[in-house]
Amino acid sequence: MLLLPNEIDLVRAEDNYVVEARFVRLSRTIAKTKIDGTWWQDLDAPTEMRKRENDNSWHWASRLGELRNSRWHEAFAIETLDGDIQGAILYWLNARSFVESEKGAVYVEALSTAPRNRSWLVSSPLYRGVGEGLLVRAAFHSYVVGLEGRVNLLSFRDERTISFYTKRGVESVGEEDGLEQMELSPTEAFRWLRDEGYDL
Amino acid sequence: MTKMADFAPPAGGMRPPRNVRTDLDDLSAVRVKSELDLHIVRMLELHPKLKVRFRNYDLASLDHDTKTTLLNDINLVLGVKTLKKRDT
Repeated sequence: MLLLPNEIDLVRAEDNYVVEARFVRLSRTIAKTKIDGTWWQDLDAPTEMRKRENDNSWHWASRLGELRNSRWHEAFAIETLDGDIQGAILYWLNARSFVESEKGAVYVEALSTAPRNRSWLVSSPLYRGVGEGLLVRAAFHSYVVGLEGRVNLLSFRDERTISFYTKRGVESVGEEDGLEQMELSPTEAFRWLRDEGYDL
Repeated sequence: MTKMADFAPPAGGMRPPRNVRTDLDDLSAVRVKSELDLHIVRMLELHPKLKVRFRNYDLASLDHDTKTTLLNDINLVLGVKTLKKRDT
């Protein structure tokens, strides 16, 4: 029985070679040792550029600690065969749709790719498809729990971020505390899952 | 992996949802021993209309096959079809 996919293909940026990776549940230990303690270390990027990244001050391990008694969140990461974590997502299953408030949606609290996977930050980024894979997993989860694939999130209001999501069918639907409310509709979620190779 | 695979900027504010659902059942007392158990319990909580038909199931007393059948029944009621990975 396929509850949630365990594997994902990433694209190695240097040669466009498709490599296998897997989803792992994001524990505090993994967050502490493989995200908080490493992602921003030894990064070939100037300090000023790092500071401009919206997630540079996020502390995944402490956030997961705060949520240890929560029943509605899920946290996953993408791990490559070398054991490195290439991206992570934290989402909730008990949220409301931004568009149809009587409907449920998966709400993405945080989604990050490792800074080494950002072409605007480092000269030789490693992998493409990490953030997309994390978001597809959220849509998949939304679908299998009967939320029809609805996923929403708050996006930073910069062109790069909004463009990334709108290209994938995630629409801007409002504003919340200076962030852009964005939502993936059931129609777009299903289209995306089909494009990813899933059939009913 | 779609052809759009790209480098993704971070998103989210690292804060919980402002609008959470208040119509959910509370089955926190149900013991969950597996991913399948957790999935079934969440389905029952997220969809209160399932309460009448399935609320009396005691997961601890069910074997895996019976739980799978239960989940299939839940999916049927909700119209959730099984997603299958296409062979490439």
